[in-house]
Amino acid sequence: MNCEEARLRIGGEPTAMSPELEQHLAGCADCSGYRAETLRIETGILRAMQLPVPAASTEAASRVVPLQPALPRRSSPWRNRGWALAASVLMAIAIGVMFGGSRDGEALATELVSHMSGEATSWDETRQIPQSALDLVLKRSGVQLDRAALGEVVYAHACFFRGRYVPHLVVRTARGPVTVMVLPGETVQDTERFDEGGYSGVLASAPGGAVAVLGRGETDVDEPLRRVLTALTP
Amino acid sequence: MNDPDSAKRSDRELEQTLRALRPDLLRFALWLARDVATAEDVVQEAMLRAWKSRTELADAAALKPWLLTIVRREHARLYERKRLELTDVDSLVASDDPALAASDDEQTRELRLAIFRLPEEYREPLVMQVLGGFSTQEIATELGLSQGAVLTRLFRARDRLREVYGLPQRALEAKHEL
Repeated sequence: MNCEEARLRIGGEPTAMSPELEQHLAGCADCSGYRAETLRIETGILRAMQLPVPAASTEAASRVVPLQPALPRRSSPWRNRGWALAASVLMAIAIGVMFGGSRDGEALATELVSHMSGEATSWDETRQIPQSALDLVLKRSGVQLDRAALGEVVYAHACFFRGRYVPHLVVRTARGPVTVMVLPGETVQDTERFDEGGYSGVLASAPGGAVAVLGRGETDVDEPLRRVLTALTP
Repeated sequence: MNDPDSAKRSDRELEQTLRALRPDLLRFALWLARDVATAEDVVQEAMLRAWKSRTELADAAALKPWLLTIVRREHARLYERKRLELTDVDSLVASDDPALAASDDEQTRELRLAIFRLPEEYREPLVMQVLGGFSTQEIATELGLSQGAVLTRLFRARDRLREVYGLPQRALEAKHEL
């Protein structure tokens, strides 16, 4: 192995060592020095590559001017779907809430509660997020809703949940924050309540999916549910 | 034997793992795309793709490299499809992008910028090796190059970064040219 080959090996794979390279380095101070420099730089490269990535899409959306166009989104069954009708039906259901959930609903509720543990800090947000941030999350999830009807959104993230990206929102209400998750493709039998893991919540079915509203403790989730259903009305 | 409960459990576990790996995937995509919004799009598409293909994954230990490969391909697909303009790194700096947050020391920031400025043919194998943990053989297979060509590109990538440390670059003989 000559110096040229040794430097190519070192520059290509700084941490790798072979008997040939070892033998060359033992007799070549120049290449040994080059390896020491390269390893020092490698430490820096490793550190530099640990970019601070945003925890939630909303942070990036509110601070970064996109330099490139976003990917085209798939069409969603939640667009242009006659939400007015769905909302009116669901509002009626929501008022006369049914007790005793289905097995699917219970499983969904359990997963929602489990999902909450990964987003625990979302409850601490108090500042309304920019419209652009909410729009980005909704776009990523393929969901449209009327922000004004929804209320003050203080947190929004497109969450990977059950194989889909869904909007995870925290909305401020007079009785404290509630989490709203719009769940395209999920099936829920009418409206189901749950009380699990310190959260009380309600799941409401709709054509094409479901909506979940969760509160901590005894928070009122019915009024926020009504708001969500209205907000989903085109 | 297909046990629906077991399948659901395994789906739930995969979903949790995917969520846990998201920052790593996003970081990887960010180095490739050099733009947060694009990187998020790439990761979103990659995760959806991975979810749909989850039955193809035989070895759970290979999940991360498998996902990183999907992210890389998704990024490449995006470039092929959209023929996106090259990101202006100076604009990235001017926008005070979190990717270049000044929380680190000045040299790390300079190095980060220098890596962002590397041509894609050098940056991509470097990111795959350093961040993705891919071997030169794996990178060669993934990029459709010879192992020698990958080694040369990695050498050149690091050679350019020597400047940040005030070190001279080392030229290669013509036989190592790509």
